[in-house]
Amino acid sequence: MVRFLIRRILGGIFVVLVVTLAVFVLFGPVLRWHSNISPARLYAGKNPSAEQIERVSALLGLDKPYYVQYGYTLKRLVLGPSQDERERVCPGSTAAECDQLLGRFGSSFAKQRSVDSLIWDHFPVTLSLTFVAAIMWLLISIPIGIISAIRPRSLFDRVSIVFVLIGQSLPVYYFGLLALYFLAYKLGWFPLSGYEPLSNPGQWLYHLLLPASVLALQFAAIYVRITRSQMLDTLSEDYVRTARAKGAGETRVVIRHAFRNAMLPIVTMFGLDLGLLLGGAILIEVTFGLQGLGWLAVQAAKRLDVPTTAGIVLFSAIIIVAANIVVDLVNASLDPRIRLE
Amino acid sequence: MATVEQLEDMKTEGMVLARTPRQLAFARLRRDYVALISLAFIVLLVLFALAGPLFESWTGHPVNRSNSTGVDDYTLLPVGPLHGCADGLASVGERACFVLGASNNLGYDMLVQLSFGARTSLIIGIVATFLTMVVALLLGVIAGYVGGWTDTVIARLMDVVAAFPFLLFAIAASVAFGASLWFVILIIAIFSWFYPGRIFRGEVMSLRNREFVTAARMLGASNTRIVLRHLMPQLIGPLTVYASLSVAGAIAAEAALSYLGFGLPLEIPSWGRMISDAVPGGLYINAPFLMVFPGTLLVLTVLAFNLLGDGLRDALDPRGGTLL
Repeated sequence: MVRFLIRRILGGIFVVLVVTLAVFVLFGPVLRWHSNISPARLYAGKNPSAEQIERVSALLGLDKPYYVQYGYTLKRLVLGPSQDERERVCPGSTAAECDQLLGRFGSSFAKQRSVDSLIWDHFPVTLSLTFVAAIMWLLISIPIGIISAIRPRSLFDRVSIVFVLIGQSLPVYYFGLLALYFLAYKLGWFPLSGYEPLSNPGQWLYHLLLPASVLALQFAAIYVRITRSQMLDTLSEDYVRTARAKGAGETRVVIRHAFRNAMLPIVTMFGLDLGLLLGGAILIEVTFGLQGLGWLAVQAAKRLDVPTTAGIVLFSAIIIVAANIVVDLVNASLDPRIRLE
Repeated sequence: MATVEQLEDMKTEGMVLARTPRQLAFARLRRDYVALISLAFIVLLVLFALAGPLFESWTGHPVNRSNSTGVDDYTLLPVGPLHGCADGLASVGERACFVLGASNNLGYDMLVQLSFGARTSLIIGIVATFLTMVVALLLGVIAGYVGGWTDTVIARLMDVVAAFPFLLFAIAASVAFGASLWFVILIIAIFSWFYPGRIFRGEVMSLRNREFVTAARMLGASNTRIVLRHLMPQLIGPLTVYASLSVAGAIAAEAALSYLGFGLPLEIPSWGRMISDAVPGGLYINAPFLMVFPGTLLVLTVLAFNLLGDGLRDALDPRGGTLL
């Protein structure tokens, strides 16, 4: 088990390294030579003089060769900013003040803030949205998937298949706009946009309900499909027949014998989807004006705020990789065959 | 080959016909009304996209051109469907008639923009799918056939690509590379080859030790010949299915990027951007048709390619896990 865990973690670190390298190449050489945009120029404000640009270059460490910059970016990501950079970026301020300005992901161009503090400011919105949506889609899709599998080709099954097809083909932002138009504007049941912190749970849920439902319906479609096909597979297994032969009740057979074994791929997919969403449910956040990580990434990219955009991509990659490892561990504990592979 | 009449005669005489797998697949597809309707929709969509210049001269509104008659003087909203067409179709050809209304607050013609947007979607869907399938076939077949270290490296590469946050990364990349058609096509292809690639790899792995491959090798066939003449024909089925699904995915991905305002330059019409044009200032609240026309067309197109893919899967591999 320990060997398995170590192998997975090393694999995860490799993926994060590839993502950091890709992001670094994009925002270093590609930005400089393909689009002729220099980050130092962006940071230096409007119509900077040549000396100003040079000073900013030195301040951000952009005057060094790319491999040195990349090495430092990695080091900062793991160990936090060096004393040297702290003194350059925030001279004469205390460590706590400097943390507000400079973090592991660097310092934002658009705001006088560290990218880390921006990410942590916006992360609760994404986390809340994902949490509410995840509960909703599991509650919707698993019962529908199970009933569909118990009665294949019934009317219920056919209706649920139509639901799956529509859910898979409807772009989530268009669905969101339609929901906003009919449910929020025409009927006035929901607010048109915005987010309330969890300190006021009623308002929090009220503001999240519509975006989370839209997100949940899209994911529910995929989960109905996978639950149904997994259940169809396990229901025809020998052990299900054995359980029936031994006189187990239908509910017991379906839940304890069939569903339990059908769960593995669902758990896998659930973990991966959570990881993906926690890095920013971009389309939903933008459509509903929820200022989460995805919304922040879009804003930052539009303002050419390179460190913030890069920071969110990295943060999201780290979450996805972590989710992958957790999923592997859960699977390995659910099914001993996996860790022996 | 026997004609249809001969076949019918043979049937009435109670003879059993031998049919090739391809004939069987076509026969199944012909009975699949959902897939046929999807195919018909796709054909209509291609015609609609080709008719772009026709719509331009018919309405008198060139693509991407603002028309002052397309914006209501009083409300400053884009005009609605059939605006200025009160005199009937006779007045079509004059600048004032907007058959489907205007598509944004610059007064672009909705019909013309939709048609050129269909071009964009189809071009991106087809070219991105072509590239996706070439890379997926190449790497999938090599990984599955050669095995060993080569397979390990390619399989890891697939895992890495699968773990990338696509949309976030595409946004970041579009900032670095700037907006262009090729950028959108390439970024979609780079992030979609891994899924069909895994399928091809799995297929080849299960095929490479079968008797017909051993037999071919015994007869002295080279690896190239085995792959091209013996394995590739077996991959035509999954290739067709995943190509259709991949077109749907590419069209949806382009629309999502354009909706967020990244990817395509402004002079290339896009359904995704048309939907996003309806958002600022809650424009769609007063003029919902702005998002409903491009949105509905987008949904139907993605649905059609998905359903066609499902239909092809049922037709080519009736044993496989089907949805319907």
